[in-house]
Amino acid sequence: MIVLVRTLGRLVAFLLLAALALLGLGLAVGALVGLPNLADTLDLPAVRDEVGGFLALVEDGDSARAAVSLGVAVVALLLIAGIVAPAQQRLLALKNQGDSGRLAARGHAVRELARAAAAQPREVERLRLRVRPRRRHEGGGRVRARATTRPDADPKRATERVAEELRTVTEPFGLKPRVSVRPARRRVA
Amino acid sequence: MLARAAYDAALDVPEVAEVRSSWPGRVTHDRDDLVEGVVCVAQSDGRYEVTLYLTVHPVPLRALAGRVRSQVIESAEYAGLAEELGRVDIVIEDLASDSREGVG
Repeated sequence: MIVLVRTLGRLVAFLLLAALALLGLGLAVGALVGLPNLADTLDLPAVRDEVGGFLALVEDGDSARAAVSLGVAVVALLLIAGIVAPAQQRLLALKNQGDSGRLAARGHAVRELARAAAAQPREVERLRLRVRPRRRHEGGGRVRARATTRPDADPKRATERVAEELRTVTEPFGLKPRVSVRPARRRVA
Repeated sequence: MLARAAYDAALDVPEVAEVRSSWPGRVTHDRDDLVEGVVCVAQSDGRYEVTLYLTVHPVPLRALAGRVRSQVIESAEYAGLAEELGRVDIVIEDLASDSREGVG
């Protein structure tokens, strides 16, 4: 899906830039040789009338046109997302590897490993994890852990336990851990 | 043939659940065969670097990578492709289940 959106985005960007280049070229040539009655040649009065009519409809309010415009906006945003989305798969490489080959993992897989690791402390009731591999280099990144502790748990102790358990994942992958804990709300009977 | 041999060898390792990548283009056209989750790239020394994209059961990853590499090397030797096999890279795409035994 993202590949299709990216391709479409590039195509649209190419066409728009090509049109802009042609327009610029035309205007440059026109400015050099001089083009009398350029506005009439480009039929600008008709364009003005059309745009004026369209703007009048917008001013009056038109739900059908609003829907079409919204659709255009959504498509444009999708195309932008396709261009902005990372083109390369971000990977986390294990540190201290030999010459036999590289071992790396996707952020999602590392997050699952980290979740399994840090879910074990008794003090933790719920854990949210976010693993962000570095953009430019394979290896290294950050892991953000937000733990909700049991009402009777010591928050400091819980933070230490989560960080300790995460170490089995953060150290091999060179991740910087950041742990924050929040005690669960006591249920009132 | 090398891509197919590496694919089959990886699946022979019990902890490997699947050889596949969620990213497009991680395939190798091996003669008439399309091998998913394996990318073979020619190295400067004439051999081929093989990258395997795996979904694995959660086990220590270094040891698993060692087992997969050994299996790939053995399989390449058996197929008479040992001279063509270069570096074997492994990318863990996903985990197959939620139990865990560690990483390093």
